[in-house]
Amino acid sequence: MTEFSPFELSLVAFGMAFFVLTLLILLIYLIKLMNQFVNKIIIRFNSKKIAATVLLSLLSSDKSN
Amino acid sequence: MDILNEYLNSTGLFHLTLGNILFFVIGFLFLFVAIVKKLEPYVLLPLGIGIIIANLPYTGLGEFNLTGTIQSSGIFGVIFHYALSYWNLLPPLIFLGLGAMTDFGPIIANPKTLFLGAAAQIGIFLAFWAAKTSGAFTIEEAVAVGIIGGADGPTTIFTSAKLAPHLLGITSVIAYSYMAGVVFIQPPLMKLLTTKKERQIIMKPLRKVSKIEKLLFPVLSMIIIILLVPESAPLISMFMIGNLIKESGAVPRLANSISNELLNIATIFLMITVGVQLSADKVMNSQSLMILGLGLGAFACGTIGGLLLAKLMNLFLKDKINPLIGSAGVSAVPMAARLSHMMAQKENPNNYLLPHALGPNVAGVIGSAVVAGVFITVIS
Repeated sequence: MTEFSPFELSLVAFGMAFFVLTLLILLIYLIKLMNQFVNKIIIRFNSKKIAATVLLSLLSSDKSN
Repeated sequence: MDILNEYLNSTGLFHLTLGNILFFVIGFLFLFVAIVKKLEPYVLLPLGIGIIIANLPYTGLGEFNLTGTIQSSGIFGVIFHYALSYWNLLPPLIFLGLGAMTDFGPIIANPKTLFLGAAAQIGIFLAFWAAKTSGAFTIEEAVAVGIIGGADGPTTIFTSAKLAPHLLGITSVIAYSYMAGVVFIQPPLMKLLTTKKERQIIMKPLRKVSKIEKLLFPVLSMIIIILLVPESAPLISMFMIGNLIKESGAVPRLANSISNELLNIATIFLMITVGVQLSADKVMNSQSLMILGLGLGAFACGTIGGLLLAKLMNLFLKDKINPLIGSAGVSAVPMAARLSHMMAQKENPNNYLLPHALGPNVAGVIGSAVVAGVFITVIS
């Protein structure tokens, strides 16, 4: 096994801690974006569903008249 | 008469040393702090009684003989051997309970604070480096000493048990003592390194975090961390499993058991067993005194690291952060976060800093587990 100096070892461990926590920050932003995207799709889907329901009810009321 | 003499010689009474008596005093001091001062009572009370037991001669409670005769091992020796030095089970179990008690909401709402948790790990490296270059410690021992700077009890125990089991008693007792003494160690540094104006900064309220974010974060972050630092898996996986169980809301009985009964049982066994490692003959040496000093230095440097990075971040941020939350990056959950909140309230009673300080506080737990994993990977 290669011998590491304490300084090198510290640098690697500290760097790794920063790197991992930076990745977690990116992960959080990614999850947030994904969440927003899914919410948008749901809203769009729901609004289409509402529009279709309104249209259907209008058509049915038109027929009955 | 001979029988009486022989019996009296086999009692502990005639074998008490000055060191034992000194450690009785330390044990009673721990009990006093836990019961009267209510500082970290769940940890210091079992530790204190463990220290007293360890210094009663001839009990054999902390002994372990794998090849010895029947019943030649003591209960705490067996627990120490199997639950710590051989299988290292108790620290991950504690992490499972901590995970079930943790809320990742503040981190998810303000991810920048994760950096503060990383910066506060600087104490670990400085103490490690100082311990190694002093020549008094091997590289494994130096890591066990340095990790005290993470101010995270289970991580300190996990690392010491893996790399330097003979130092486990002293490193964990010092780590928990400093964690209990956070209210004495950190405030002078916090005042020294921040201006009154900085301490008065009121941070923007945190956004509401959705359930899906809280569910995805523990699972995905666990995958990322363990892929990069496999040796941190016992701690990180348990921490995230505990959190997922809690956040799922699907198994409230499990979440309740993990964060109460299981955590309490693990704490009882862990703390008494660690305390029993602190017998005068094992601990009274110059190395222990050095660990005491290096641990304090590590703790102080971690605090300074978090505070300074918070100040540095403020140079670039539009929405300023209160640098007092930087000191919470040293783990010591939740005392360090509570202390940041109390210090801010002293300057401005309307400043509610606790949710903001919990972000770096939890990040510190993850950070110290990652650092421990990296050290263990490289060294062992």
